[in-house]
Amino acid sequence: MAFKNIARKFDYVLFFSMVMVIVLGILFIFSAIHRGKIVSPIWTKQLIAVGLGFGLMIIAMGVNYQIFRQYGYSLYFFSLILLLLVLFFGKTVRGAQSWFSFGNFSFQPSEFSKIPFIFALAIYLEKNHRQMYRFKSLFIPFLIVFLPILLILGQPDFGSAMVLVPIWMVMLFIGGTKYLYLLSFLLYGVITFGIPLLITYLSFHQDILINSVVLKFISMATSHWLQGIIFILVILVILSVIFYLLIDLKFAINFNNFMITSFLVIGGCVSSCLVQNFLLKGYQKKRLLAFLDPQIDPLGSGYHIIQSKIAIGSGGFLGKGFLNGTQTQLGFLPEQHTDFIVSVVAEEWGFLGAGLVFFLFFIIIWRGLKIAVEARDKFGSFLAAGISCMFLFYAIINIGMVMGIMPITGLPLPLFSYGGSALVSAMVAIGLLLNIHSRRYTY
Amino acid sequence: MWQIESNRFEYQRFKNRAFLVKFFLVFVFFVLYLRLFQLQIINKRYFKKISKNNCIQILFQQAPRGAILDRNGVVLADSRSAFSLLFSPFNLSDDDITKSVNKISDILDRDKEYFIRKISFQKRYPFTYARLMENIERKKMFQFAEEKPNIPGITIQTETVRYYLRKNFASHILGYIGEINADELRDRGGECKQGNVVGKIGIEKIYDSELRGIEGGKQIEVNAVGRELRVLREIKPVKGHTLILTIDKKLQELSEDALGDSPGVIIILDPRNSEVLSLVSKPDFDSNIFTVPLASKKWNHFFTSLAYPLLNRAIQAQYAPGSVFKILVTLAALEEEKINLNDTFFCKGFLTCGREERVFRCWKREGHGKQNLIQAMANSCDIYFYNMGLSLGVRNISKYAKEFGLGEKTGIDLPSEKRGLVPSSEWKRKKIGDPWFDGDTLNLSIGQGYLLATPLQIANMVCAVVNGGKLYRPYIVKKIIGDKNHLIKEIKPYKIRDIKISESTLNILKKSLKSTVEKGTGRAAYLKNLSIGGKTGTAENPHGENHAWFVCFTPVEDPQIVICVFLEHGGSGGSDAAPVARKVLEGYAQFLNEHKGNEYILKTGKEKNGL
Repeated sequence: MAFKNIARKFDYVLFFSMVMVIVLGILFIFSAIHRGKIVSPIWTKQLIAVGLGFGLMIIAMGVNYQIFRQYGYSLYFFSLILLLLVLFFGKTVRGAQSWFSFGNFSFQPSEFSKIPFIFALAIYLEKNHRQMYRFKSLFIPFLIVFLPILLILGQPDFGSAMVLVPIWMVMLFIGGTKYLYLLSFLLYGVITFGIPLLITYLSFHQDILINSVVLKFISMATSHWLQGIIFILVILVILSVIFYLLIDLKFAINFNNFMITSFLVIGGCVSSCLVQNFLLKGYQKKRLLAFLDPQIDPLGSGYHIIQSKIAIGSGGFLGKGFLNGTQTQLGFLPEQHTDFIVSVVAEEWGFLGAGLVFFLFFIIIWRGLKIAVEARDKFGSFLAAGISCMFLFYAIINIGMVMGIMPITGLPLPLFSYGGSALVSAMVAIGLLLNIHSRRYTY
Repeated sequence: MWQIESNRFEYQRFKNRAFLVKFFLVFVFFVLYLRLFQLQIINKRYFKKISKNNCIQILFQQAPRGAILDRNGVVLADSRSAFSLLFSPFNLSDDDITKSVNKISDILDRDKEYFIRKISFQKRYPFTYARLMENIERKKMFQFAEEKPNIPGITIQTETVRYYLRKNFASHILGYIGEINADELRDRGGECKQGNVVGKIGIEKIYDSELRGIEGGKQIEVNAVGRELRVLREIKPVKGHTLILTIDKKLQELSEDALGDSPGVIIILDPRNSEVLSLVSKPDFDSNIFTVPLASKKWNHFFTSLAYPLLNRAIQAQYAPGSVFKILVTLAALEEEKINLNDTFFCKGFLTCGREERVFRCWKREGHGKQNLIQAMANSCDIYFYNMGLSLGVRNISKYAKEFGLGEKTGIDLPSEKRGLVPSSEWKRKKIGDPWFDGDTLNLSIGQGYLLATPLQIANMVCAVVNGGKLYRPYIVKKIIGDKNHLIKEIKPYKIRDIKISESTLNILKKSLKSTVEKGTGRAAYLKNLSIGGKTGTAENPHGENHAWFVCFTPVEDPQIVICVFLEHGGSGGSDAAPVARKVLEGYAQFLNEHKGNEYILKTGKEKNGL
């Protein structure tokens, strides 16, 4: 394709929104890490990552995205292998074994596994688009999301693993899965994580627990796997009794729906037992809940939330000025250049600055969804939709966390936070969106 | 618009659902803006006030470590209050910090670099305090309190520090504690953090999670110069759990005195469940040294000394068991019916073996003459056991050795246990490359050659033999007790396996071991008023003087304790190890008298279990 052609069909709005986010990111990372006059080496590292990102983005934009239809699955398996290898040869940073390190150069395979994951799902959805209303068409997509989650949880990096779930669900939704299945799955997730978190929350508010027999029973049942099994058996018996009663009374009941409900209740209980006893450690549960009540973990994550809110709130409408944020410059927030970078903008540039960043993200995601609708084929549509969802959920989770309305999960804000791997993979994702957009009319 | 597949209905559905996603996007961003508006416009004044005048800092308080008691409730280790020096670099100029560091290093008499390093680490987290020094002396504490106005940034906090009631007592069991290092931090991320104190060896390490308690702390509002305005929230630290050991303090003392300063091991086990009643390994160390700050010169001595005082010889060193192993060979031969009680061999002092007619000698050069089984055991006649070993073969011997727990970890709740080695012909072909010779069998049958075992393995093997074939896992922690004497966990004896031993085999063995002490090589351990069975061992080794072994149990009829004495390069079993065992037995007999013949262990074990 001639250069002219590309230039004509290029999505300038998306491109320049991305560039602005990156530029703002670099500015505020500088503000977050600078102490005194010395330029920190991690800032120059970020600049190098931007350069690398542009290179890879141009490649992702230049090749015809149809080749990913061919190599998507291979890329996906390659990313799984990398995730497996990092469990054995990876370097451990902040408790998670998630880095490959070669001398000065190191990267996080979990950041790069998101795009192959979206490839694989998009390929599957394209091929099976007409059968997606069937229950059994969910099996392969389930495997596609389950394997990377399992491997990333092994590092363990709870946030990066769990963010794949909403991306997966929205892609299935766009792909045409029945509402019933998605709702059941949502319910399943709520049961799985809801019960353990509820119990943890209640253990800090004992007064509610003492007054409720049902809650007490549930908390007893999930406190140990053996009691959990008994609990599940009880539910099993009750369900089957109800089922036979209903048949006896000649109530018309759909066997499929009955099975789904039973599965939800029993499976949900099994997995909530597992989550309670094995997956989430006590401090992780506290971290996830601290946004509801910083009192739960006042010396750890609760403190971060309070400090983040103070930084944002004290920024006001116009902010305190670049490099003048007192909370930021005194270093009251750890990890401010990675997970909590939004609080720096909000403090120093106020509502206007933070609002601008939000707006840029809104534009990026909006354009991404528009590109999905206008794409020339199903593969392009699903790919673009998946990438947009990725940005959407990272933005919700990160910005929500910084403002104290989402749990602390340690997810960065793509394109904006410090971190080379995340930046490069986000830029490649934007490159793919531009690619799909520029080829929307080719036959 | 999809061009290749022109299914209108599908494209329409896709478009509809994409529209819903867009709707979701708008909704989400609306909520995010709303929240931003709430924080920055509506609550602006509130947050501005907080950020302008006050800053919140966090002061962590370490939890007191749980106590460690012996089986009768006697305290072996606990926590006592002490003073820690903390430092907050918050809002201090570099000049101020340098000034403070100079003062601090003057008072504490220590290099500035140490403090500079700690403070520069803390600069990355200015909202918490650097823990400069723990357990500072009272005198120094007063000095700091006086000088506080001249040393900006310091805080003195009352905390607790671990202390062990007696120096060099049960140090290999208890272990010691120290600041967490990078490896431990990685393994226990989330549970511990930089600057925390963790157990390094012994049960301090194995039961660290139980002992450490829950760290507390305060959120403190400070003004612009770092002065404390008020405490916003406080979480009281929670003391760790109390551990009750299987160790009996009196027996432990007795063994430590009996062993004196000679390098070696004394282990006392209860053969009915393999509870460890005492475990001494010498040379040892004073666990308290490691909680005293600035004593790193003394620590170095422990880490570099060629006597390896930190090595727990009872489980971390492996030796040839020598003639003690003959107990097992006899048991195997009787069980496999390769020998009878009345079978005799003539000992002329040596035996030749193999095509090259290699000469294998008895320890007694002039020979024992005609020996039956009981005599051979009592005199530890090597020739008799060579013959026994040849008729058993290496396969049988190593089978029995493995059954009785040699060549595998006993599973005791202490860290870094060694597994020992039970050779077999396959093992030799694989590791050394040579076939198994009859000469190897001869060496094996008197406990020499490739065979290696830890003293604890030998003690536990004797337990399993004298209790009639029940191999238990030895253990040291009996109970874990939480707040308000609430029993959290009781560790029950764990039987690894049952080994079939016939009644007659057991009787013959006990009889022969009893006669070893009454009139054989173990005479030095003989006591009139106790019925004792035992076996000596003298293990040749390439590193120097022989190792001396002595294992014994009492009473023979219904054994209640098993004692294993091991002297590293200590000479011979009969003349060096047995007298040490005799001292322990004498003391034990005295305890029995004090309890008027009642069973000592069971009685004392039950007295204060309520705690």
